[in-house]
Amino acid sequence: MESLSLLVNGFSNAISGDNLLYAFVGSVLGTLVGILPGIGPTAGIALLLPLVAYLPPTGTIIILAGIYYGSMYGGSTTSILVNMPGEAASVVTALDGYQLAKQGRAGSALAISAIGSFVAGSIGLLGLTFTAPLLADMALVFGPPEYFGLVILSLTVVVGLFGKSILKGAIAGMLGFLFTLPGLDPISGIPRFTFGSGVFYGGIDYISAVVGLFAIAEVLESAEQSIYAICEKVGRWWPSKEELRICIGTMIRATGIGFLFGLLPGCTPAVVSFIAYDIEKRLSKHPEKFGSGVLEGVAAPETANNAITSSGFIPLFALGIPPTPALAVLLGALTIYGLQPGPLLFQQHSDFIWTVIASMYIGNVFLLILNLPLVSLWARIAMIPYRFLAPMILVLCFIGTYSIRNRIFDVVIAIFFGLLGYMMKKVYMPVAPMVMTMILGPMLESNLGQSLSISRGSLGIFLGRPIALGFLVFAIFIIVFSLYRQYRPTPKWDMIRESSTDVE
Amino acid sequence: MGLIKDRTIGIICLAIGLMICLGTKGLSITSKGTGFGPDAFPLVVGIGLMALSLFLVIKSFLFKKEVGQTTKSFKMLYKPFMILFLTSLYICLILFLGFLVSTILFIFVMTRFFGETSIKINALFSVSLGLLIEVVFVVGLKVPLPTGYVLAILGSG
Amino acid sequence: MERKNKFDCHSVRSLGCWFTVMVPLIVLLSGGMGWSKETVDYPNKPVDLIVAFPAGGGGDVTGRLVSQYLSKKWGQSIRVVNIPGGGAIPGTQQAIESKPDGYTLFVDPLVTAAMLPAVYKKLPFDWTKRTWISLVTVEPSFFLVNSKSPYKTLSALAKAVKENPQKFSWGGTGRAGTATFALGQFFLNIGVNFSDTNMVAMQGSAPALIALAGGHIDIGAASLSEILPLISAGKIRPLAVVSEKRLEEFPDLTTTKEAGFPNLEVRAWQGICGPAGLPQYVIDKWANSLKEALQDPEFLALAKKMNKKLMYLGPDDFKAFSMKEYENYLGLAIKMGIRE
Repeated sequence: MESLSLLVNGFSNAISGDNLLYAFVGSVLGTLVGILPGIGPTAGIALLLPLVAYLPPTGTIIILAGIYYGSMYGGSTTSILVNMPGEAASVVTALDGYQLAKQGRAGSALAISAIGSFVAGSIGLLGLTFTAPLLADMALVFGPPEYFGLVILSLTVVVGLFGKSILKGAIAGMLGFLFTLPGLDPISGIPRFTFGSGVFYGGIDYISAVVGLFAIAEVLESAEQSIYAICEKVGRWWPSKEELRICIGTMIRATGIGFLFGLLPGCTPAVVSFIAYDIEKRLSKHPEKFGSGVLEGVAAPETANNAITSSGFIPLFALGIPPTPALAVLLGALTIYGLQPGPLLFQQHSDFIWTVIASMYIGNVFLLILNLPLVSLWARIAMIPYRFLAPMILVLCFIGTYSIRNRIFDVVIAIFFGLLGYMMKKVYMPVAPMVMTMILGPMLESNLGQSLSISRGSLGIFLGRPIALGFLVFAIFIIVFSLYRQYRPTPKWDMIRESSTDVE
Repeated sequence: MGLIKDRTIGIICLAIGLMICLGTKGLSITSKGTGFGPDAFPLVVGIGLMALSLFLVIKSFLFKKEVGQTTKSFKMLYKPFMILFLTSLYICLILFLGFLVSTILFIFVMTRFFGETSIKINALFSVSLGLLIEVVFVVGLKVPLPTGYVLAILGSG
Repeated sequence: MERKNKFDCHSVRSLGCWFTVMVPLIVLLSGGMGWSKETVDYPNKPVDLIVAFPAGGGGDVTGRLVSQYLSKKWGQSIRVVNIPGGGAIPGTQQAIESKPDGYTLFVDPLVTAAMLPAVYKKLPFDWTKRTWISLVTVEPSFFLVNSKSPYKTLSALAKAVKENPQKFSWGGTGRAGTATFALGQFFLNIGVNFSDTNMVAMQGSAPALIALAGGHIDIGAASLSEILPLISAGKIRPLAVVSEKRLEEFPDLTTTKEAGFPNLEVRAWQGICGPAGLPQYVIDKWANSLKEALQDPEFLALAKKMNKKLMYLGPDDFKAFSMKEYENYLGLAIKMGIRE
């Protein structure tokens, strides 16, 4: 197979001197970038864009790509250890990951996350190698109606996050939509709920809100309880054989999901990691334990978001379509070198492409080596006395949220959400639905509006498009099925029902 | 049941929902015939929120049972609010004194607040961490962090 | 764990000791870092170049082009600072309201200079309070259809649209967007009522192009650098380009003038501006350096790689040009009925 020989050729290039160094540097930088909230891969790649003046194209792109997938490794680290998601895609990891850290199992969580990421990276790259030409066009198949269908399907995931109190969960979800309202209307560009001030025109940034809801709220809660440290003792860091066995299935499923959805430009990695999480929850034998510290709950999103990074390169190289903002910046780097994405890129610069792809694999190996043995070291961070750790977290929160858009406004937002998250904890209102609806809100509105524009107001557009229709039908099916399962009188489910009416 | 009764939450959310609905009145409809203008989505959210919070309020009247930890007084909120206040102060200070100085002061105060008794360790920690962060982010990563008005005045003097 | 929230006498004193030593030390240290000298050797510390768009988009590439070149030339780093979102309003506002000391400037594309004020009756900041420095790049706009579309020329498309305007959906890139105005002007030119057209509001140029390539919308407009990959992949077809002469990248592509539409003039451009009240030496330094840059083969080569066409206008010319553009777009916006 031609691809294979090209790949082998690429490997020989990627292992040569400088490129090896670049892969290493990129991976390390990516991990660092991922650890910090706000300074995500987009900012990291943008910061290093000036490198194009000093390095050959292969070198720069290797580093930038390294930052991209490396950040997915790093993002999980702080998510798990201190409940501070490094970026949007790591939000889901924090749900179970931080609980595991509190139980002293941060090591296992970090290890599973690293292993899952590696599995996804490897399989993803194989997929990239062999299916690139076939799947490239997939990125174009999804239009506004299809994305709308996907959003509706994702809302079923939100329902799954309600937890014990359905009403309060639903209200939390609605509040999430509420927070997406300030700003410019996505369809007509009219400012809404901006209180007459220009600062609100950009809307409420998602990362600021998440940092507040998770990291800052947790600091407030921990302060109130005057804890000494997040956990007193860290257990064994290598997951048990049993845990690994369960997670293997998770990882493979999540890789598939992540890889497929990563092709779609309108689908953010955060949403996909939520979907992967939800699928694992539904397929699991103990769904009610999700959210209180389940390893699959960490394996699924982490694997998925690494798979996304691999497949994201397919539309980027083949069509010049970057599925995520970080890749858009990388595209800028390609442009500066005069490397035009498209079929010509594969033909005229096949050397370059395959070297980069091969080095991505090498980067993944580096990351595994970097992360796994250091897991026990990282895990000990959870043991640092809180009086030292908390100020560090707060300062990092500041830097992170400020760097999103270089505005103090975003920091203020984070503080506000910190207070909100803390209050929500006090009244037993779940935060997860809100976090998800905040991403889905703009997607919902813009895609619905666009679909209706295309069809000139007729809802029939959804009936005429098979993929969109499929998503909508599937969503309805899931909701009906869940309700059925919940209210059917069987001994096992009676217990769940009782506990839910209790708290309501 | 948490610190605040469900009833109160319901009423607050009801009020928010109402405000949203009222807020949409000012938006003109430029939807060009699709009927889905800038007021559609907020209206749905507002109504949805009102409906759900209404359910919550009604439910709080029906189920008088109190579950969950018994709430202590509001005194336990002192620490979290103090942290929020200090953090807000920190931000204002940054605009005034610049990142490095404010951060060092902030870490110092916070570490003390969280219970570190030894001043020496406190100072050492805050200065070294502050410098470390400054080096890594501002110098190393060239992240543009605010430099503060005082410095600007000093600088252009 | 003991909690000592109260300061006792002893610790207050030692605290005081530490403070009197540490604080001045710290302030001096940080003050030293920001110490700047006379006006003559401007710039003597890093300059922030604000771009009100996300990295990789809009005026960002121009910003990086300029900053990369000038950083080398002046030996002082010019940092591109992205403040994206909100239709470029927050970023532009922050730039315009910043201190006019020459250390904060911004990339001013057509969108923020002319389109925003044309479209919004009320902006949260005074957009005229700025110092125009120079124009740097221009981008010819292209009119595009999907490659499977039956229309091969702009006039053929015009005819079909005129017959049945409702049938064609077109991608607008926001209220104040190049594609919105380009296509809006096109429709007005061929005598179609703008409100009869079927605009699908996309979140930016890239999503609009993706939708076009996927066949979800029928007509689109975009600039050179954005369309090259999709054209080479054979997904979209350009019908005409808004330009004086045919472009070397597309020797077979008719210009709008040749195609019989001489009045189509919407094209994106980017310049450099600063807040109002910039000292003259700042304006001179930038304007002169940029003028030289556009003669410098190194800069030209860099620009070509980034697919940017260059055009220089000095401070006064740029101001006149910019205001004229504003008037043009104001007229267009009123005719299109999108001015709010």
